[in-house]
Amino acid sequence: MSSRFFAQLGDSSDESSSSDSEVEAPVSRAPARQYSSILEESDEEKRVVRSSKDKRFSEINETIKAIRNHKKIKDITKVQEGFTTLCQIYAKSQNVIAKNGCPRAFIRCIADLETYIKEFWEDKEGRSKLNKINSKALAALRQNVRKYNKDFITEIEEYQKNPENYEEVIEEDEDEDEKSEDEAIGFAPSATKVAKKTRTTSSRGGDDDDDFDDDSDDMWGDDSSDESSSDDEVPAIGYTAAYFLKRKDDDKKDKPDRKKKAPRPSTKVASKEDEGWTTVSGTDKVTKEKPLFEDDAEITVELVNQKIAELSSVRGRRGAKRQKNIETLEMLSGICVSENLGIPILAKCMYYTCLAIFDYNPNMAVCMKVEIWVQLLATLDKLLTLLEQHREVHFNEGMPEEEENLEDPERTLTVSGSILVIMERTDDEFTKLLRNLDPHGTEYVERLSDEAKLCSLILRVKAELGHRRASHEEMCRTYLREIEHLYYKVDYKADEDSGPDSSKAKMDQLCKYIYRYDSTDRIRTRAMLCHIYHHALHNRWSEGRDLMLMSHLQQSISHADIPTKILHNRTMVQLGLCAFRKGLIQHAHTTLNEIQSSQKSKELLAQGLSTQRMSERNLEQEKIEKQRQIPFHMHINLELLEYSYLTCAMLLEVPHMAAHQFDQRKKLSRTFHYQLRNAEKSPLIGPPDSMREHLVAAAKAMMKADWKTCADTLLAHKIWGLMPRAEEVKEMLKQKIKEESLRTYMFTYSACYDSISPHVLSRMFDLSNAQINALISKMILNDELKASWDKPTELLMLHRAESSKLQSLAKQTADKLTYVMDNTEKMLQQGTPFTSKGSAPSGLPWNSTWTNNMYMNKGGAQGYSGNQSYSGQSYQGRQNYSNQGDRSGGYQKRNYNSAGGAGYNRKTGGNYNNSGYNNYNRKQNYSQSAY
Amino acid sequence: MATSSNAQLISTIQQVEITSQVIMKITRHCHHELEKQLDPHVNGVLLGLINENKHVLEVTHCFPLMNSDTDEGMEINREYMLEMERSLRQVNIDYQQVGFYQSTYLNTHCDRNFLDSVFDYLEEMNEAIALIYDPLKTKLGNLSIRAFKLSAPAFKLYKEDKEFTAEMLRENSLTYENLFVEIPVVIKNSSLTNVLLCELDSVQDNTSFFTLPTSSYLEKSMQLLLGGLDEINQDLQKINNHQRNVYKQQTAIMKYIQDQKEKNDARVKDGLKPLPEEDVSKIFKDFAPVGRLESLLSSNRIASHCDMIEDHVRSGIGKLYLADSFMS
Repeated sequence: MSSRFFAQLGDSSDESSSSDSEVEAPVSRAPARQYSSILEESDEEKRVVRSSKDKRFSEINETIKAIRNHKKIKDITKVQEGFTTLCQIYAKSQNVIAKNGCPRAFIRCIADLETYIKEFWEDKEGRSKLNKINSKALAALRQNVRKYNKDFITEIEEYQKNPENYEEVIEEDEDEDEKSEDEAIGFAPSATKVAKKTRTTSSRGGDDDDDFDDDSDDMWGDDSSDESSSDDEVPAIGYTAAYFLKRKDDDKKDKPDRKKKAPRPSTKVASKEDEGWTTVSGTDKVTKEKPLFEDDAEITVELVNQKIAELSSVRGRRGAKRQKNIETLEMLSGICVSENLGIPILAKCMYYTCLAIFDYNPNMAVCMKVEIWVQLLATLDKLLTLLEQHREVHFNEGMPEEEENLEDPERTLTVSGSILVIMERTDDEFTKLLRNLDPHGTEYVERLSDEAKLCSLILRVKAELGHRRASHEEMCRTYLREIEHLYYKVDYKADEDSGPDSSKAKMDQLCKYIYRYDSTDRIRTRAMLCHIYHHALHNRWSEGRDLMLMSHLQQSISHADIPTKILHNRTMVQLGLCAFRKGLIQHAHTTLNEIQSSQKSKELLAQGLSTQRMSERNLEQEKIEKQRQIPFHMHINLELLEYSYLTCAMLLEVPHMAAHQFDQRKKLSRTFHYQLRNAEKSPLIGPPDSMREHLVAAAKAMMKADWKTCADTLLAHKIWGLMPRAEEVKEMLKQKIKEESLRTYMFTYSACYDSISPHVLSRMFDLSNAQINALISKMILNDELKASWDKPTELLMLHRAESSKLQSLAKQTADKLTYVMDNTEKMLQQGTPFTSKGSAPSGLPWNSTWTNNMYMNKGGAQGYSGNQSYSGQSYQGRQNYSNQGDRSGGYQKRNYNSAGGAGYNRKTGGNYNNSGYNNYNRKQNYSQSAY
Repeated sequence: MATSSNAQLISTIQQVEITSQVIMKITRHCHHELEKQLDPHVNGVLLGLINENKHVLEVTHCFPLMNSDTDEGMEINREYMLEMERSLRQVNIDYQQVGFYQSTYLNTHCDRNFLDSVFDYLEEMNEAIALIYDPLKTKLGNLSIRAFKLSAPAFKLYKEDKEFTAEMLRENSLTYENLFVEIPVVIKNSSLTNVLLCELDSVQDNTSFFTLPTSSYLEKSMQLLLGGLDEINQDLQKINNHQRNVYKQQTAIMKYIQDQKEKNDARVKDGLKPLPEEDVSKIFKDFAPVGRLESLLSSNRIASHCDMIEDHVRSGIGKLYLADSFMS
């Protein structure tokens, strides 16, 4: 045995001295075989390709080792954790195990664990020493293990009968292993790294725990080994024979003592495969003379596959040479073509090239280099072309790599992987790329031209998936990608063309497919939002609004993810703008208000970060927000948005302000008022320059009902040019301004008129008589204007109906009284709590309530009569007065006598309300009364 | 003893007789101050005597005081009062102080200060009264002079506690209405004066009778009424809050007692001695009860505003109906 090791070591050192190449060479061994000898100190990265089986088993081993360690220090909690993980891993690797049989180490572990626990449990003294958590864990673990082990009774029994059997088996495996290793090495005499890479751990390692540890560390992204792999070019020569030889003795000494144990799945399958495999050496990067494969090697599909797998195994590692990986993979695809290895392997090569390109940037946040991007597009294009030509080749996403069928034409040719995923990644990368470019540079435009290519790629992927009968879910994903490239684009022919080729028809078709087949809520939501956006963009207000309302998106959107929320915000804004263009000012205002009132429209639409006064967000948040940004070409113009919103606000607010001159509490738009206030602060008002100044100037003009100035100022701003159908919108706005100015005028100055001719108004506001008529009638109907039409004279008769100061005071009194009443009732409802001492020093006595009631009544009644008498001078009727007076007087009396109650108050209040000021306008004659 | 005699004596006086000279003096003082745009609130001391047989308080003289809140001003006032008293005694005029007079603006006089001074006078002299003169009303043609004194229960309560608690109010059945007692005022003139008045009466023309009450007066009254309502509202809210707090505390106390009881029961079961019962009042502090005085005063004010509005409007309405019936 030792001689064999010796020989092996000698071989490897020879190799290292004979060829100074650093190229990674795949080892033609079953992936499970990691057991070849290597120097202990060698910290070369092991680049053995591992199958999922391997992965699983090493995971199991790792856990077992952890359990064992914890057992030693009696950390029962950790043991329990380990056991749970072990069970999970076991469950996960069920399919692998079904194929390869149950790993013996696993059986041994659980059996040992059971005995261990049993012993521990019986050892009362030891148990009492445990702390609370651990003893609890022990009890739980005992139960779990018992239950769990029931499933493995036979195996465990077998193990308990002859535990050495399990050891032996491993031993044998080891031997087998080493034999095959020798063979493998024989195949690859020139590859320096074979030995290094295929370092075994178990054959050398003393304690198997350590072995597992090393093993797993090496396999799974231990940083130190990764790093070292990057500098292995130079020191390769340094590892000369002498270096290795020096160690030989140590190895020799150690070896016999070392136990060789490893979890060993049945290796028969693997070892069979071994025989047909060859080892290849890579190209030498420095000299570029070495070919990818050895000259004399016969390049087979398996070989290439192996190579790909090997390259892909280093994915995501820090030390991996990504650029070179890409090159190698491309070269491989070149070889595939030249050697005529068949389409599937070629497809796989390309597929992995794409993956390697994605891996080029280790950081997800950083965008690709442009060259890489171009390469990616080209590769994807080639891959798709290939697939289009060879429809028999299939990609299967969920399939494990082992089941791939790359050669056998009898069965379906399948490659593990998914072009959909690639396409989606590409799309995401594109977005990222655009996000990171300066949107005003030429480069942006250049890249933007790639969008057409990307779109066609998406279409082709869609077609391919269609041909390959992809699942609905996949199709939905593809459709969504297509939609997302479509929805924000203005179709300038939308008006004339409503045929099947129009964007509307296309959107309809795509979205409806998703509505029908999508099972994930997210895709449907996104599709719907895009659909609404598209409607809104093309002025199909009612369709968009209906869809928005019917989908109840607004209620559920708060549960959505942030990109979807952003899309929702975009959609709402677009809908608002659509309403604005359509002249539905009220709708536009309410829709836009939400976004605009927050002052955070930039963030809400993911169109940049607004500078904030206080540093509310830290760098981390900023980074996250930057990643959400939408590429510039999809932006909604924020200035236009704000101007539209403020215009809406102005059109609504100015008449509203005029109507409620004395009552400034109700504000429709805070933002608008803010602008107005801001403008008032400035000491000197020059001609309007900025957008806001234009608006404020327009609003000021409108307040004076000067529609012409208003319209001129408002529409003078060049930003309207950015509005689609600018002329129409301007015309609409002009009309609206006229109308609202008329309303403002009527609100403000109607008090100055007894009557006014609609013709005069018509001249003043450049509106037709019919329009004037309609507007004013509407105002009269809405109780905004106290007026009536006098048909014969064609005049608008205005009625003076503003309440005098006294009347408004009376109203206020009434309000206050109801308020007092409510409070009193509340107090009565609460009752009179008494303290525990039996006395009620703090409770409210009935008497004082009564007092309140009484003065309330008195106040009410008196206030009422005061009011009445005043009204008596002008409008108040006798009937009402006397009735009321008598009645309230009566109540008053009763109240003084009896204790009085809240109910009574209500009555008085009610009467007061009813008759008190509802009767202002009723003209009745007063003649006789109680007085 | 003092209180009981007070109560007796208070009830004895049923009328206040004022000589026209006093009224003229008060009016002059008040209008003089108003013209000078000084504080409309003027006050002075009333002098007179008590006719116990007829249960009448006769006010025969008065003199004004300086209107000042500062200590210095008060000192001057006091000195002045003593000086006046001495001088009046020398000329053999009634020098007994029987109260004070005060001007008012739309019945807003009824506040804490007023209550304090009424109380002070009453303590000094059982039959003291407060005379309220309304210059605004007088200007409108109706002389308004009213005499008030603190009612017996109010006096008693105020002596005990300056912040009335609700309970005290209930026990003494004190409401805003019987906080003050109004005593009818009679103006007594010498016969000569009466003759003069008769002559003047015939000279005067009566056209002013038909003028309608002005609305500004009403507006102001309404505003004051509103102010009063606001106060009441605030007070109500205070009470509501207080009630809520008390209620919360009650439940907390109940819970505490319950817990304590359960604990003790458990202890007894385990054979342990029950914990000593702690005084709940130590753990839970009582909330200070809401003072009712302010609310009483504002109620009183509201009532007087209402009366005022009613009076004011009544005459106007009568005139309107009269005019209307003439028209038809």
